[in-house]
Amino acid sequence: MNLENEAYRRRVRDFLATHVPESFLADQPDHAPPGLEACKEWEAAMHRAGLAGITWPEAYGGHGLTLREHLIANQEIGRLALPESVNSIGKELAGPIILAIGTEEQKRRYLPAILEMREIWCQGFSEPEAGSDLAGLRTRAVRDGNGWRITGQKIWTSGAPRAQRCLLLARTGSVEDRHRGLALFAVRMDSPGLRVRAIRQMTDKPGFAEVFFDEVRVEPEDALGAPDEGWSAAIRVLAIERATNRMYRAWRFENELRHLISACRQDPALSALLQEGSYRQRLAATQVDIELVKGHVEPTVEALLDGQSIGARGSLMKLHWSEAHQRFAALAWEILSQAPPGASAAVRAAQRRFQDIYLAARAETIYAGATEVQLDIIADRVLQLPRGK
Amino acid sequence: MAMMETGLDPAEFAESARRVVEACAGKDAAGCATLLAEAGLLGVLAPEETGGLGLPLPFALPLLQAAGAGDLAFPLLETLLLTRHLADTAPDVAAALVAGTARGSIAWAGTGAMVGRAPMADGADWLLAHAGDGAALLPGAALACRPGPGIDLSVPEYEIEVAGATAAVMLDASAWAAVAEDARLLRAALILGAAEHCLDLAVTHVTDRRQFGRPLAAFQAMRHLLARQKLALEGIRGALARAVAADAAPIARQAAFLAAASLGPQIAEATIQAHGGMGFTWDIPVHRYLRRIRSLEAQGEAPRLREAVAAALIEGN
Repeated sequence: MNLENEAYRRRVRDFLATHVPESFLADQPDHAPPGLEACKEWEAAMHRAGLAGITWPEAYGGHGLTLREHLIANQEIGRLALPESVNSIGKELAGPIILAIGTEEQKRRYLPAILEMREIWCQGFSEPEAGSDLAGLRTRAVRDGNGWRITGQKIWTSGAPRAQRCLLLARTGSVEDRHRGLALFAVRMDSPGLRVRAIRQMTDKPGFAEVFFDEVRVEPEDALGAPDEGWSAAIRVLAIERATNRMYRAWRFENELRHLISACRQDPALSALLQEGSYRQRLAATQVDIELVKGHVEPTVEALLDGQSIGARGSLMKLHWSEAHQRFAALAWEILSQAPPGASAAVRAAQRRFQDIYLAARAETIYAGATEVQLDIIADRVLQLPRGK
Repeated sequence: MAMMETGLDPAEFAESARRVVEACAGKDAAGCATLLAEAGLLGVLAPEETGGLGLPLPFALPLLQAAGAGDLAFPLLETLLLTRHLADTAPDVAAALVAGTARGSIAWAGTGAMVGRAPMADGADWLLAHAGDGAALLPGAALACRPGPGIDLSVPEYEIEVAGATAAVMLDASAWAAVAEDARLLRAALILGAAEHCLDLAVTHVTDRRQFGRPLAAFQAMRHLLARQKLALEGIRGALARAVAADAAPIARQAAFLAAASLGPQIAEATIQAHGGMGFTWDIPVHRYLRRIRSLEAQGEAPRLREAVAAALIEGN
């Protein structure tokens, strides 16, 4: 880590220390989960301070820096118990895809709006009949003059009720074409014929939704890339995104571990549990797991900076993180649920946070490529095991 | 791994180490020492005054990976550490170890009258053993040595009666702690090499072996079993790379060994499973790797190190 990087880290740290509203932080006793508008304001402020669109070109509202600064910023963001971005699909999926295949006009129109939080995006990939197997998707895009008409249904679309745009993968050919004939669109969520139905999640938090398209008109300027390019562009960008999105997660994981310990130490009964050898061994194993997540992230950043291909590194990172985080979430809840009645406000706050984390963690081995899909990817592309007869 | 200030790249040692380890197959410890010394590999960490190259610790990692992968029947980890940590206090001993004319070992368990877990200590000329809060370097010839209860066949462990032995040299507590800390990183590299070889064996076996008219590798259960081992292997590799970075935190160094100690056995065990009944035979060498890895886990006292990690995390000490 050189001096320039250290100076950058200090700037990020100073900004966060002086600007994060304390009630946003889930490890503070007076934590109150911020609403959508407060989140948007905060994320716009982070962008103005240089903490979003770090690697995007300045012409599109970015900051023109490298993945190394992106990593540093994420490490500092991860150390704090901040809420998840309400526009991560815009910043970490739609944005990079637009940068890769969008026209100059599209980049100038979409990208600053994402960073300034004027447009929140959702992702319309999965369908009822195409969950992990996206090649089987059925939502159709048919030519309509110079534009397109979309008909079909998407599901598991996180954040659809709050989104202004949907990054939609739809079929221009027939279902038999599998990966061919898939196109990407930037669909306005207020388009006539588009309907959102929220799905109640097991966490009872706002989350995913179904999105129905009934002859939804898409203007030509909202088609991304060539009609046949959607799948290959999506796969290419997804491989990088899987490795680089939410890069802060190892450091957030560490924040959670430290919060668990500090909350337990404020309670005599929980402190006693922390003296038990079996819990100590599992907590140490958690700390090692966190180091392993870092050990997957940092070489990925170095490899990308070095111009190497990303390969399946993202699958390794995602798989290890999601399973390690589930183990930890279960451990944290197991410990905190043993607090005696009348526990302090700090313990209660930790119980609330870790109950949420435990339940939310069940989704982590399902979304962004389920565990079984990641294992297939590693077997196919990394180990290159034969499938044949 | 990044180029070090020496202008050399540790990776350059990997190929020559692999060749020498291969040549050592079937040789006894003295024979291995000669071949390793001739190739200059025993002096990688030793200062130039003792005939070594004086390179930093990361340069030893490819050697130990090669030793782990090739099931080298020689206490390479102990020899390299003795050349590094005795160079000031016992330069003649270090020089003889570098030259392959003397053999050494380190007892990783016990203190006082009886020490143990000393790899290939029978016939060693020098033994470093925990004594007081530091360590004593003892001449090997005078020591009563017997096979320990260890599980490893390739680099078997010995127990040694050290009561009444006269130390040639004493290491203080901080010097002994430095030996132990280096040892953890080198063990992680040995386990990484051994585990990587296991996974190679498993991949080869499931590719070649056909059942139900298909290669075993075509069955998803087998594909997922081995994909998990690949994840484990890359976890160890990533942890080790972080551990040798110039600015590595103590936890990063501890994590490299702890990751190897928990994931290494898992990889070797899964390799036996992937081999089916053949994996349980004496002739398929996977059990040798499993034994080796388990022995290294024990020598590094993984549960005790995990407790130290917990203490730092929970009590902040």
